[in-house]
Parts: sequence; structure tokens; C-alpha cells
Amino acid sequence: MTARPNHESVAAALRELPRGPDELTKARMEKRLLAAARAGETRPERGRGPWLAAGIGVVALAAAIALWVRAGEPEAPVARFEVRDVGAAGQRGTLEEGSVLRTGAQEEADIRIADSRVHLAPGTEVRIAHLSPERLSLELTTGEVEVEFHPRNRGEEHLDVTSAHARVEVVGTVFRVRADAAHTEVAVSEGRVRVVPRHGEAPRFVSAGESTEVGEARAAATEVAPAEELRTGEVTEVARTTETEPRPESSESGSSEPVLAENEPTEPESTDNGAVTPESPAPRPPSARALLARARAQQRAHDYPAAAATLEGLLAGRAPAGVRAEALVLLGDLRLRDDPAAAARAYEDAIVAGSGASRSNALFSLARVEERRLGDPGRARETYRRYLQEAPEGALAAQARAALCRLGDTTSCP
Amino acid sequence: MATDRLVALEGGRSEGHQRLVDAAGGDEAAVRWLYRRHVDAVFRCVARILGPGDGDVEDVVQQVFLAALDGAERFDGRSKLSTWLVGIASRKALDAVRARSRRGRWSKITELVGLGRPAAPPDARHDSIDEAERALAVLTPEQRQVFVLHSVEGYTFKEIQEMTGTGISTLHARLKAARARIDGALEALDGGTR
Repeated sequence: MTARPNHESVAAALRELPRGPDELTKARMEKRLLAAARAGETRPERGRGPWLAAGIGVVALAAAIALWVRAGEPEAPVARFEVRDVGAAGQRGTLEEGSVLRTGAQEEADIRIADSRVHLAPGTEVRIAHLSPERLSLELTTGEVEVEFHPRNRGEEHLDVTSAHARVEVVGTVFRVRADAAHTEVAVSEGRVRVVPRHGEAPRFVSAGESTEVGEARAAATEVAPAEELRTGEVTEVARTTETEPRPESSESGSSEPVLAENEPTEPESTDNGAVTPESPAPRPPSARALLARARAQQRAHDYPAAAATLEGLLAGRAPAGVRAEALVLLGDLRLRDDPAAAARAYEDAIVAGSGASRSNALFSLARVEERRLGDPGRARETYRRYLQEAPEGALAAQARAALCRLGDTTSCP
Repeated sequence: MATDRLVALEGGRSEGHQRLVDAAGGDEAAVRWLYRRHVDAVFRCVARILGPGDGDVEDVVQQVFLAALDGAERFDGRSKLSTWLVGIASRKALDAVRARSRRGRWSKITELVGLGRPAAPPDARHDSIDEAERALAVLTPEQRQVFVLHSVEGYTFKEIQEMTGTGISTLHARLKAARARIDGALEALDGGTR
């Protein structure tokens, strides 16, 4: 304000803020509203006359008892998130129990709770299953999370990450979990975690520098290459311990990717607790997932030609459908700069290969390319609509609706 | 003007009224339509009365839509649906401020910061907005309601009367008092901090 501020300048300033909730907040509020409407929640009933006063008294008494009982209990933690395009500033807000956070193909996100942090890689979907001072539970549907868990009261605070195949229980550590339809991989950087397979196998501990993988043996065996069948069978039952020295792949990429199959033993030797320790690592062809991890690391290191070559190698071989879809989306991202048409083809292939969140992300990425790089608003509209049909409540749904509005579909305008 | 925008968004009163009735009857598509069409206006009104950084804004917005579903039969279609919803929003926000006052939280915070900031610091991008929020915090809830609806949102006194049930002369008096109070607060702020 250049002139002396007065009530008019106050009104003018207030008109600037806020214009409305951000898209993620809108999506979260919509979900809450629908849930409340479904549950029949409404305002308090009226016309109860004398009963009202009695009711208030009972409620007040109950509240007083509850306050007394809860006195001294720690306050519920707040889960704050930020979603952003890779390397850029983004949207922020808070999450509550039951919230789902998804990242797009080119987005990443952080959830911060007290001193702990959960980083979501692109193409990840996580649900806050439980949020209390004693316990934080995350459900990883797909994608990859990196967790830094630093409890203020060790032993009294617990964190676990559950995927389709395993539950990872944490004591206080830094670790990474990656899940798709067939596998869940856990790699620990600091501390120790307990991995509990969800299909009856014995729990196992994974310490710093180690990784393990849990999968669905029978389902995965039909999808993986013959060279990986043994590996898939192994990982449903064993924890593979890997060397703590930096591995060639890590040192090449400069990243802390989870240690994967390349140097794994061909004949694992069981230990007393059922875990398997590599004794004589024999060279084996890298798994599709290892190649995908390598490509991601190369992308992060800005070595795009190498990342594209790695992905092409992956796609030339056999790979589980989920990994193939992720690879195609990543390849599309890499092609985007120089050849949008090739990027679009890669996303289209990913749509065919993928399912669930990976397919939705591919649809959204395709729509973006069609809108922004290929200048085809008609196709973009169709693709955004397909995305909304498949993920009507996804984190990208609000952006898709905004895009449809921008492209002239007035029924999608707020 | 905010009013013009709201009229433009309305798109057709009869459709809005029908959707409201459908939503109240449990039609989820109609609930979504109602929400998406009006959430910006409702959120804006609530946030301006409570303060944009206030942690209760989302809850109050939810209460507004639930109250609209619950009271759909009272919407007679003579006013715009958006005006009716903003009216509910302003009342719910006012209720929230009053409840907070009753709990003493509001007055305690006001005492703590002198002029009285909103319960949570606003996510201000500019000094002017921060200053405006501080100034707004000195108003009574009723003054804040009429100031936001008239001077910020652009509703006429007649519309605000329909929304709040308060007489036009009272609204005039409250707005006048609000303006004087803001100007006085800004002068004090100006003298104290510049």
C-alpha cells in the first residue's frame, strides 16, 4: 500500500485472498462431504424442547469426563503434505486418517509428521490408515516411499507401512518401500525394520544396508522371465541380505537405490532364522525392477540418454505388467522434451500395459501432452475424461477437471 | 464484482434448485455438482470471516454443505442458490467465531497480540494482506460478517438482509462501525510500527 491504509484498502487486499481452496484441498473436502452425506450426518436436530437442556448437561458431563480421562495425553499429530512437480514448489495442506495422497508421473510429495518424513516418488499412492501419537500406519498401494522415522519417545511411537504383500514395522530408521502389483521391496539405509509378509511367511528383520523383497509367488511366477522364477520363489520366503559396501550400480548412479537382484546368490543358503545370506554372489541379469530403479537413478542424475537406453533394454525383455507400465511412463517423461509424439506413444503403451494408479497416471500424462505439446484439445478432452472415469477422486482429478474447464467443457468448471 | 461472478456461475436457477433437491435426496452426483459449483464461493466467505489460515475453515465449509442438504426444503428458488449458500456460510462462520469467543480462545489471542490476529497466522503473501487480516481481527463477529459480505464480497444490503435476517439499518450501522474500527486500528498500527 502506498497511501495510508484504510478500510477500503483492507477490503481490496482481502479480495485477493483467498480465491478458493487449492485443488487437493477441494478434493479432500469433497471426499469428506460425500462420506458425511452418505453417513447421514446433518446439523443437530431441533425442537427437542426440554430434552435439549438435559442433553447438553449429559454431553457436558461426558466431555468433562473425557477431558479428565484424556488429561496429559499427547495431542494428535498433524500430517502435513506438500505435492510438487519434480524440483518445483507445490501445493500444501494437511492429511487426516483415511486420506489418500497420490503423485502424478512427474510429481513427488513429502508428508511430515513431527520429526518424521515420508517422501513419495512419482506415481505413488499412499493412504493414511492410522494417525495417532502412538502409531502411524501407511498403506502403500503402488509406487515408492522413503521414510525417515525419528520417534521422540522411542519404543512408545510406532510406524508401519503396509503393502499388498507385507507390513514393514519400524523402530526408528530411514528406509524405502516400493510396491507394485507383484512385489514389495524394502531397503534400509539406517536402523532396522521388521518385515511381516502378509501371506503367512515368518517375519524378518532388515538392517541398515540390507534389502528384502516380498511377492506373490504363484501370481508372479506366471509373469516373470524364467531367469527370475527362482528369485521370485525365494523372495516370498526369505530375506536377502546384501553387502553394506556401495554397489557398482549405486556408485554409478550416485543414488541410494535399493539393492536389487544383480549380485544375488544363485543358491541361497538358509540360516537358522530362515533368512538367506549371499555367500558367493554370481552375476545374473538384472531384473526388470532393477533396471527400472537404475533408469530412475540415471534420470535423477540427469543422464537422460542412459536412462532411455536402460528403459529400452527393460522393455525389450520380459517384465511384469506393472513394471512395464512404470517404465513406459518414465520413458514418456524422458521423450517429452524432444519428441512429444514419441512421449504420447509411450504413455499410450503404458495405458495398455498398466492398471490402477500407474494406468491413471499414464492417462493424465497423455492428456497433458495432447493439450500442451501436441496442440490437440479434442483428444486431450477425451483423455482427461477417461482419466476422470477411472480416478474420479484421484489427487489429479481436480486438475483434470480444471483442464477440461480450460478446454471448453463448461460442465467441469467450478 | 463477486456478485457478478456468482451470477455467471449460477448458470440456471432451476437446474441448481433441482440439483439441490436431488442432493438432499441422496443423489451423490448432485452432491458433487452442488459442491463443485459453489465450494469456491463458500470457502472464500468462510475463510474471510474466520481468517484464511484458520484451521476451522474446512470444517465450517463442510457444515455449510451439510446444512444446505438438510435444509433444502427451505430454499424456495426466489433468490439465487449461490446467495442462499453464502448466507449459510456467513452464519456458520459467525457461529464458529462466536463459539470461539465463548470459549475465550478468541479474546485470549486478541489480548496476546494487541490488535488481535486471527487464531492461526494467515498464509499471507503480501504485507498488505497481512495488515488487512490484522485489521479485520479487531471487528466483532457481526461487524466482520457485514464488512466481508458487503465490502469484500460485493453483496448488496438487501441480499445480506436476506442472508442474515438482520435489518438494513442495523447492517448500515454495523458497517459504519466496522469501517471506523478498521481505520482506527490501522492508524494505531501505523503509529506503532512505522
